[in-house]
Amino acid sequence: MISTNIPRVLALLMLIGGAALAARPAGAVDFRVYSHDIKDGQFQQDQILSKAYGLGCEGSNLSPHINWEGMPEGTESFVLTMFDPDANNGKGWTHWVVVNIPYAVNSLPRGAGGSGAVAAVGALQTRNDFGQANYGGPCPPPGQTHHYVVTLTALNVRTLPVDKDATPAMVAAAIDGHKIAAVSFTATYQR
Amino acid sequence: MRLAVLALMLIGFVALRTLPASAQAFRLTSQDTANGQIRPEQVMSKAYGYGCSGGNLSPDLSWSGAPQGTQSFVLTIFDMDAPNGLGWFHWVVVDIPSTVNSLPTGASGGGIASIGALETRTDFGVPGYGGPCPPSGTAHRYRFVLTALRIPKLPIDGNATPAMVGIYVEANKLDQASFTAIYGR
Repeated sequence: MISTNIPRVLALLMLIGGAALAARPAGAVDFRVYSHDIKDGQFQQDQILSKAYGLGCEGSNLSPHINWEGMPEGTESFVLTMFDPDANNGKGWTHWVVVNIPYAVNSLPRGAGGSGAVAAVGALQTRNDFGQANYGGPCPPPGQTHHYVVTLTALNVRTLPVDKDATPAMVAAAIDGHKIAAVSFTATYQR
Repeated sequence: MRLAVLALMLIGFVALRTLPASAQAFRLTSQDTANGQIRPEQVMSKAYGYGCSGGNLSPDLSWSGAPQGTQSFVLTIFDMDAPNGLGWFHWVVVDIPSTVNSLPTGASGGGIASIGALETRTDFGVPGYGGPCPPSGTAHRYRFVLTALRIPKLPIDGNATPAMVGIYVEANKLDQASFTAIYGR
């Protein structure tokens, strides 16, 4: 029984596979997010937290250039977050949150997290775990290597019902139910 | 072999002897969440606009058995099941003096200030108690945690985020007492 069914199953699988491939628009690329500013998976000195924060780091606190492509069908907006799962508080640390990025935008320039570049494209920065609505770069304790996960989430809504004072928890709750797909990359930093 | 057993017995005896005579477990309890259930008085009020209509009164809490060397306490209430992948801090109180061993119902606000403690931002973005209000049809687990610290005050103000408080708590904790209560609607 089994042996006689194998050709049929194979034919069916091939048909399904063929249909799935045919459904993709020509030239479609995989949804992905990346940065040319982050070399070899390492944050660079100018992306590190600045001295003014008083945590012992002396970077320029410039957010890295972020690019993405291959947005899924139905995308109305994006949310970008940068999160340190290794923070010494048992819960992680959100370094950057940008919401309401219009679907037509596919990059944020270097330093966008501290300039008017985010507002210029019609997006909004909300509070990070420093309590501020901007980019706060990596600054792990001396001797520790932390991972920083940059995630771009495609949403089926144009805007989230939040303002710049929204906490990372509030933004994450607002995303719930509107996520189409999310992609991410991870980079590390040690001082 | 015999020597090893003897040595282990000696070590065990010494370890027992070093415990203070009155040692008891560090415990945190609440009459307002008896039976592990959160009451309507503690649930979020209508004013927040999340669809709940409780009293938003912070629960009473009592504790005992704080470790030797405790200089202050930090209290947090955390929703482990918030549908955001991060959880949700509903209350954060720092700098609770080591001489305090209870908080009455509704202490958030004036009551906390009057004992010299400080409320810092919750995940609602403002300092002060924000009661449970899980989405309709769900029940969430709320973790109440009291941490004994070896320092009397944290170097922060009321705008500190839960993440920031967490860094100082982890760096200065002596011991923690906790319990979990449930609320569903």
